[in-house]
Amino acid sequence: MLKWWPNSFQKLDNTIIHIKTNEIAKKFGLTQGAFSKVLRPYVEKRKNLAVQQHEHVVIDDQQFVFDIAHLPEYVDQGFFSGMVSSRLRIP
Amino acid sequence: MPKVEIQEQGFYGLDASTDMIAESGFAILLSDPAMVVSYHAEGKENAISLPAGTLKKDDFFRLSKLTRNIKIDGLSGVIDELDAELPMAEAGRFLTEQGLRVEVREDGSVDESGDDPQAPVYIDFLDYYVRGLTYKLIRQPETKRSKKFVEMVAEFLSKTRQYDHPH
Repeated sequence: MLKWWPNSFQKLDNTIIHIKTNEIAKKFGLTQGAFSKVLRPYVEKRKNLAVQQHEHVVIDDQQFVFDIAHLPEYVDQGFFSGMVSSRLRIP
Repeated sequence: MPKVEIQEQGFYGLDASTDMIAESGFAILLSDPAMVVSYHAEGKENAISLPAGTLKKDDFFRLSKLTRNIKIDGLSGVIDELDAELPMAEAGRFLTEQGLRVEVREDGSVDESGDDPQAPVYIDFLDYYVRGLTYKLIRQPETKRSKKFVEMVAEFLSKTRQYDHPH
């Protein structure tokens, strides 16, 4: 499977993140707390996405990792979109 | 020297720049293919420009295999008059989000403290992005825009690599 995010990319440590957040907040004339409040939902969204991307299934001792952005070919996408439409009552 | 062809796929000039990018350790990203030709003529053969169409994952992979250091030249501002991101700013943000070290050349500034007094000054892309947006707000303050810009930066910051697995 094509792995979109190479693991080896450099990551900044928490101290730098803290300084960056503080710096940015100041530039917008906000307190760090106010900026963190805006930032939080975006970070949570990323965390959820990261968790989903790391979920994997083991079948017959083989590990399968699915890309959540792309459904496998065997999935009947018409069936799923039909289900979603009926639940949402879309004509 | 690369030929200017609108149909070229991926980053313009990347084939011709491969060796020099590997040698110098960075790529210079320009907005205009014509500028790539003149940069190459000046000996800056690690210069490339944005793809004619949308930046694709494959384009990113190809570039990131060569280098993780990108220096953007010729970027003036982050958004246009309708508050939409400029294509180069969008590309810089995208590359930063993917974990590349992106810097922007500051027009008119030289590093007098270094060995080469004429060496240009580059600043971190995130800093440039924030500065570009706050500058717009200073010129045209408005609460709604201010909120939008803060959210743009928050989303950008959340997508940078350090927020993938926060402790």
